[in-house]
Amino acid sequence: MKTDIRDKEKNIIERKNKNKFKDNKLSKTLLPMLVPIGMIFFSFFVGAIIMLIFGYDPIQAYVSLIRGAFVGNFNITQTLLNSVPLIFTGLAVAFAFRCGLFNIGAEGQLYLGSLASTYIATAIILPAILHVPLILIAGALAGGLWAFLPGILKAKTGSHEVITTMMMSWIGVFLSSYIIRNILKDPRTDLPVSKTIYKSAELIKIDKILPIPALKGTRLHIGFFIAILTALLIWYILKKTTIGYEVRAVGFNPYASEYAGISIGKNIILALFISGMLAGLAGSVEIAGLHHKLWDRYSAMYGFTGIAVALLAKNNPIGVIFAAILFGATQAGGKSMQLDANVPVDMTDILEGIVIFAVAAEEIIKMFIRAREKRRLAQIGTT
Amino acid sequence: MENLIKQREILKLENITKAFPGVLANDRININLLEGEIHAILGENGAGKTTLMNILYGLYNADEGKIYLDGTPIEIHSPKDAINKGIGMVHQHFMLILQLTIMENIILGKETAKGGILDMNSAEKVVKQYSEKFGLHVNPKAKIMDTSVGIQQRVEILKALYHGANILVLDEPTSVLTPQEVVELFKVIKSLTAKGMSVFFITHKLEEVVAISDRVTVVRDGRVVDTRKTKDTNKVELARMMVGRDVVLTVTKDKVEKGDVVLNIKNLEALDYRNLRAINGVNIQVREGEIVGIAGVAGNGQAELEEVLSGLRKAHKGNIYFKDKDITHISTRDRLRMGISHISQDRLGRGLIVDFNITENIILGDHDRKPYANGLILNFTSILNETEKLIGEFDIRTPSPFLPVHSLSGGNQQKLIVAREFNREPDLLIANQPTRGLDVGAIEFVHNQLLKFRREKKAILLISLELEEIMSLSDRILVIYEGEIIKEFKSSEATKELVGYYMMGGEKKKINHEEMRA
Amino acid sequence: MEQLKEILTPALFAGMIRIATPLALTAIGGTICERSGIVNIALEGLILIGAFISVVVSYFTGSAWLGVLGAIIVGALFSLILAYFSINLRADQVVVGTAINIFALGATGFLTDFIFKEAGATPGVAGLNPIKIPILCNIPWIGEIFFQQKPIIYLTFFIVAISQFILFKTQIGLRIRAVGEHPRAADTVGINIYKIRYLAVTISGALGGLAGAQLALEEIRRFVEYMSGGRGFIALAANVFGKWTPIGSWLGSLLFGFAQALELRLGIFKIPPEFVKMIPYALTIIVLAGAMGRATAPAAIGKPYVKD
Repeated sequence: MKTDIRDKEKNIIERKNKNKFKDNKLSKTLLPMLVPIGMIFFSFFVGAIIMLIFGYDPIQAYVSLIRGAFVGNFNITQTLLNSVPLIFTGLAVAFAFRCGLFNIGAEGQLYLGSLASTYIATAIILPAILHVPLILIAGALAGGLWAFLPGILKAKTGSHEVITTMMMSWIGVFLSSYIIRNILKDPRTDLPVSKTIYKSAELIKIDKILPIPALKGTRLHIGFFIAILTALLIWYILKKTTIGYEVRAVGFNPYASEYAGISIGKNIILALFISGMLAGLAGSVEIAGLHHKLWDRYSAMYGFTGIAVALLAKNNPIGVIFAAILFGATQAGGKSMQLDANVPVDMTDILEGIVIFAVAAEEIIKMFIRAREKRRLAQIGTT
Repeated sequence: MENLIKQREILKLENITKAFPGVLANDRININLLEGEIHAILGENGAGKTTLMNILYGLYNADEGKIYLDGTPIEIHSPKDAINKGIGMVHQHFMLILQLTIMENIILGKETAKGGILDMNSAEKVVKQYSEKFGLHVNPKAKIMDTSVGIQQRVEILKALYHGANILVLDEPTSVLTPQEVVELFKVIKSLTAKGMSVFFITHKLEEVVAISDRVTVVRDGRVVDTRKTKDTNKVELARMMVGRDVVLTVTKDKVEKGDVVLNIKNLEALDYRNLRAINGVNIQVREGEIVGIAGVAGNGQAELEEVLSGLRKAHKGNIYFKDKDITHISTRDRLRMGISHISQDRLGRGLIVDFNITENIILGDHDRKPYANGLILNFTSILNETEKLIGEFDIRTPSPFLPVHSLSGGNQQKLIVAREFNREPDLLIANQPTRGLDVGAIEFVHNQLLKFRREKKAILLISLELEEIMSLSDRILVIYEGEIIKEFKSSEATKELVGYYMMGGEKKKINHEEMRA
Repeated sequence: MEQLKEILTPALFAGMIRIATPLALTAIGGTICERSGIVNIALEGLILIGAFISVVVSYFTGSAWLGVLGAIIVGALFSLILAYFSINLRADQVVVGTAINIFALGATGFLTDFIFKEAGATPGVAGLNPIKIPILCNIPWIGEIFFQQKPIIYLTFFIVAISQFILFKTQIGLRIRAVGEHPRAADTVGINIYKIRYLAVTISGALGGLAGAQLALEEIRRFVEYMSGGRGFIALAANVFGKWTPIGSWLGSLLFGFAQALELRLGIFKIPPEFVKMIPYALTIIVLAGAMGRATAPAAIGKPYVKD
C-alpha cells in the first residue's frame, strides 16, 4: 500500500521532471542572455532620457555611438582593442566575486602589471618566443602581488578588501608615476613616458598571421585571442577543477566550507592573487600589444569599468567577453558621440553606472524566480 | 470548573487562514482565550502554531479571518498594533540585542525619554519596579551578551509586561531551559495569570501541556484538531491528536557488543571567542558500537566541544586521540580523511552550501579525492553516479540532482547531510543536535540511521539539547555543565529528573530538592 | 631637533584639523549609516556630488553658503538611491554603492562639460573664508590651531559632539543602534526599520555632501573631476578605527589629517612627492588592519531586512 503511493509519487515527480527539464533548457540557454540584454536596453533608455533632459538628441547620439563603435574596420578594431583590457579586468573582478570578494583595485593592479612588463620589455633582449611569455608572467605576478597583500590582510585580520584594494590601487598609481618618471623614463623626452619596448617583446598584430582583409593595417593584436583564451581557462578552472570548486564554496558559505575542511584564508588569498594576476595581465597586454611604452596614467579606468563588465556578465567568464566588447564599443563610440552629437564623453560613465544599478536591482527578479521555484517544489513533494 | 464558566473571553481568533508558497500554514483556525487562563497550543514542528501566533502579533498578515478583543473586531498589521492592544510575545528565538543592556532592551520602542533624550535613571527604576512586582529578578545594567539564557527569557517577559501586555504569547519557552528552570518558569506563568494575565503557551511537549495548561488546543497540518480542558484529556489521547496516528514514544535499540576505544578525549581544555574557558578538563571515551550522549543546557560548552573535535577550534590543553592516534593538532581536512564525520547543529550555516546544487554538496569535503576528482580535475561522471546512488539510498526527495539545495525541505536537506557524512565511511560520527527543527518523520529517519551506524560497530558522540533524544539513543550519558563533564550515567540508570538535576549543575549548585519534586 | 621644531608648528596642527574635516564629516556619516545596518560605499560619490553642487550653486548665486546648503540637500537626495535600492529592493549594498560612485563620476564630468563647456574642472567660485574667533584666536598655539579656521570646520566640531550625543544618549540613537544590531528584535517592539534606515542613510548623504562642499568651497574653490580622491574610502577606515562611534571617527580622521599635514612639510627631507602622496592610503591600510581585530561591526551590517 505504502510502496504503491510512493511509486505514484515518483511517477508524478518524474513527469514533472520532464517538464521541468524542458523549460530548464529554455531558461538555461535563453534567460541568462535575455536578462543582461534587457538590462543594457534599459540602461540605454535611461541614458536617452538623461540626454533629452539636457537637450541632446539621443537618437543622433546613439547612431553616432554605434557608428563609432562598429562601422568600418578602424572602428571595429578600436572596439575590440578597447575590449582587451576590459576582458582581463572583468575576469579579475569576476573571479574575486566568485570567492565572495570585491576587488575594486584592479586599476592599481593593472599599473603594477604594466610596470613589471615594461621593465622586462625594456631592460633585456630575448627571442620573442621567450620574451613575450616572460613579460606576461612578470605582469601577472606583479598584479597578483598587489592583490596578495589585501588578501593576506583579509584572511588574517578581516580588513575589508573593498577598502584595502582601493587604497593599494592609489598607491600603485603613485608608484607607477614615480617609476615611470624616474626609472623607466625615456631620456629623449620630458613627457612622463617610459622607453619604448624592444620589438621582441611586442605581441604580434593579427593581420600578420591571419589573412583577413578587413584587419589589414589595423592595430589589433593577438592580445585579443590571449584574452579570450584566458576567459576560457578561467571558466574551466571555476567549473571543472577543485580549485574553482573551493573558491566558489568559500564564496557562497565560508562557514560550511571551513567545516568541510576547506581553508577560508587560503582561498581568499588565492582568489585575490589570481584576480590580481588577471588585472596585471591587462596591463601587460596593453603595453606589449598596443602602446609599446608606458605612459603615466594611461589607463582609461579599465579597472573600474571591469566592475561593470563583471557585474553585467554575472561573473560568468564567457559572459565577460561579451560584456567587455559592449563596454569597449561604448568607449569607442563615446568619442564619436562627443564629436558628432556633442554629448560629453562622460555619458559613457553614466551609462556604466546605470548598468550596475540595473544589475543590483536584478537581484530582486532572481528572488522572485527563486520563490516561485520553491513554491513549485513544495507542490511536487516534500517529506 | 465554576471558575471557567465565570471567565470572560478576552480574545478570539476566527477562521484564521494563511498560505505560504506551497503550504497552507493555517487553515481556518478558530481559537479563543479566556481571561486568566493558560491555553496551550500543542502541535508538531511545522504544524502552524508559530505562524498563528505571528499573525496574532502582527508579524504576518493573515489571508483571511478575524481577531476579536473583548468581543470587538480588531486589526493587527504590525507588532506595534499588537502591543497597543496589550498583546506581548516571547519568541522562541529571543528578540534581544546582545550589545545592549537589559534595561535598554526592555525600554526599546517605548523609551523613557524627555524630549527625545533618554532618561536611563527612570528606565532603571521602572525595570526594578516590574522585577519586584512579578518576581523576575534581573540586573538592569548588565549587557545581554553576559547573561544566561534563563535570564534572557526573564528579560523577554519583562519587556512584554513593560510594553503593557495583558495577553502573553510564549512560543516554545522551555526549549532552552533545564527541567529545573522550567519549574521556575511555570511558577512565574502561574503568578502572572493569578494577576489577571492570559497566556497562550505554545509547545510540542505533552508533559508541559499537562503540567501547566487549563485548556489545550491541538493543531495539526495547519488545522485545529480539537480544544479540550486539560483535565479532561490525557497524554496518549493528545499524542494521537497531535500526530494523527498512534505513536511509539520509545526507540528500539538492539544490543551491540562494544569494541575498542575509537575516540579518547583526555583533559581537554578550550577557550571561547572571548578567550574565556569554555571547556575545562573534559575526559570522554567512545567505543565501537557505542553512542555516547552529551546532555546539557545550551551554552555550557557543547558548541566549543564540537568545534574542537572537528578541528575548527584549537585545544588549549589536553589531547584528543582517534584510534590511539593523537589528532589534537590535526586540521579539519585531515580529520575527515582519517574517518571522522560530523553533523553540525547549524544545518544551513555549517552543514550545507545552499547555493550549490545537490551533487556539489554531496562532494563537499571529499571534492578533491577519488572518486570525485583526479588530481585537480573534477570527475563529473562519478560525481553524478554517486549522487544518484545516495539520493536513492537515503530517499532524498528531489526532482533533479542539479537542484540548488536551498529549494529542498529541511528534512531532505538533513538527509543529504547524513548521506554525505555516512558515505565517507567514517569510524566516528560527531553529531550535534542532528534533529534540530525537523518534523517527526525526519527525526525518526535520522535516529534510525544513527542506530544503524551503531549496529555497524561504529562510534557516535551525540550532543543534544533534547534530553529525550539523548536518553532514548545513548548507551552512556554524560552531563556537561559549564564546560565540565560533571556526571556519567548508564542509560539504564538515567531518569529525566536526575539528568536534569545535573544539567543545572548538580551538587555544584546545590539545587533545592523540593523544587525538583514540584 | 631643529628640523623637528620646524615641522611641529601650530600650522601643522591647524592643517591636520583642516584636512581631517571632510574625512570626519564623511566618516561620521558612515558611522551613522553603518550603525543602522547599511554599508555606505557610496560616500566617495556623495562627496563628489556635494563638491560639484556647491560649486555650481555658488557660481550662479554668488553665495557660498547657498552652495553649502545645496550640497547638503542634493547629497541627502542622492543617498536616497542607496536607501531605496538597499532597503526596499534589498540589493547588494556594495554593488549599489559602486554604481553610485561610477554614476557620480560620470554625472559630475558630464555636467561640468554641459554647464561650463569645459572638461575636467570648473572656473573658480566664491568660497568660504576663515573666521577668526575674537579673543580665542589670540591664544598662542590653541588660537592658531582651533580658532582661525573656516566655517565648515567649526561646524564639524559641533557635528562631532552632537552626533555622538544623538547616537548614544537619545531615543532615536538607541533605535538606530538596535536596528543595526538586530532589526527583527527592533521590529517586534514596534520600531519601523525602514524609517530608521532611511533616516540614517539620508543623514550620511547630507554629511557626505557637506564634506564635498568643504573640499570645494573651503579648500580649492572650484570643482575638479574626481576631486574626492578616495576620501570616501579613507573615511570608512577612519570609522572602523573609531569603532563605529562619531568621536572615534573624528579621531581617526585627525590621524589621517596629521599624516597628510605632515606630508606637506616633508619637503625638507627630499622625499619624492609620489611617495608622500601615498602616505594617507598606506596609513589607511595599516590603521584598518590594526583596528579590525579590536572592533566589531554592527551585527546586521550589509544585510537587507526582510519583513516576511
